[in-house]
Amino acid sequence: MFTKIKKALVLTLPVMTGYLSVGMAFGLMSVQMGLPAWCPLIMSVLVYAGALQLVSLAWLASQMGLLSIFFLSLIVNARQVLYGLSLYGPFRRMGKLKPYMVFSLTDETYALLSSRPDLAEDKTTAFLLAALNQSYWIGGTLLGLGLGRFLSQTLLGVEFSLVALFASMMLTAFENKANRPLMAYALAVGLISLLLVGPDYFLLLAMGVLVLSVLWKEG
Amino acid sequence: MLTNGYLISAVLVLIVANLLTRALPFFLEGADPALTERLSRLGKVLPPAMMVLLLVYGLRDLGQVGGLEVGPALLALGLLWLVHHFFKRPLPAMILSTVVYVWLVNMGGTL
Repeated sequence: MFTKIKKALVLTLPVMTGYLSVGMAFGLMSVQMGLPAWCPLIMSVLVYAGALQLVSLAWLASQMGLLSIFFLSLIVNARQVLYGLSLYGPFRRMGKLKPYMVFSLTDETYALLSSRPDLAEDKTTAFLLAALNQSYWIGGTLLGLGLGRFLSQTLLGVEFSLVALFASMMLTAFENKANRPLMAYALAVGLISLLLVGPDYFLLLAMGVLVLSVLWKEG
Repeated sequence: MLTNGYLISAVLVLIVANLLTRALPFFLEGADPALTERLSRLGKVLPPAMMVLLLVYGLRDLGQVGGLEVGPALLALGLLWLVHHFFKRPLPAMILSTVVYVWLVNMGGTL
């Protein structure tokens, strides 16, 4: 058992820095927005999705309608569908641990699991790895909540971490030339929607148009 | 004013929607390959375009009262791009640009 914990710890070390810092930004942002502490905590325990949690803070702050939140969450998380599709085999062997493995399948956990085929044979290590990653995320959230309490005055501009996260994900996606036409189209759709319906509703309109366009083009 | 009732419902919606996207592929295990093929196309094609929309969303109130400040935001994004481009390190790029932005807007000076 000890060697398995050690193996999972070593494998998840790169994720730790990322989850602690982004989780901290999430916790801090939620304090600055005046949310009660249970709210970000429950999210980090039961939602556990970095990009979605960060962007949803802005949705909550603007009291967005529940149906819109539901629809937008599905689209923001669309990439996660891909992960499960390639893990049928390994997850079949997880037995009782499978529900947690499905729940905790974040970008980073997926990247670790799919880059290490040997983990499919070792379900304890695979589970430890998933659970450790989530513990970093919750730890980061707690740190952010603590820091938010500690700061006597409002620290302006923490919400920029959201922009930094999406800009960074976008730059990575932009490196693949095949992604560029649709990204340019999305930019046009986004800006036109923003001009048409304003900052509160444009995301819903733009994502709707984007999904319909892709469905139409893909046939 | 955010009420607890709204927050609880909204968090529940987030939990369900998120769980759906993670569990959906496993519900489809053994289903028509054409359907899973289509889904995986969507999962591949949509996310990069999504990131663009989310970035526009993050910048939606740039330069407006209570929104992001233009000068610091442009500087921080430029820095993010530089670190991304020359060092290929997304996480340090994100942390550095956020810290620089927060530092700039809290200095109180105008840029």
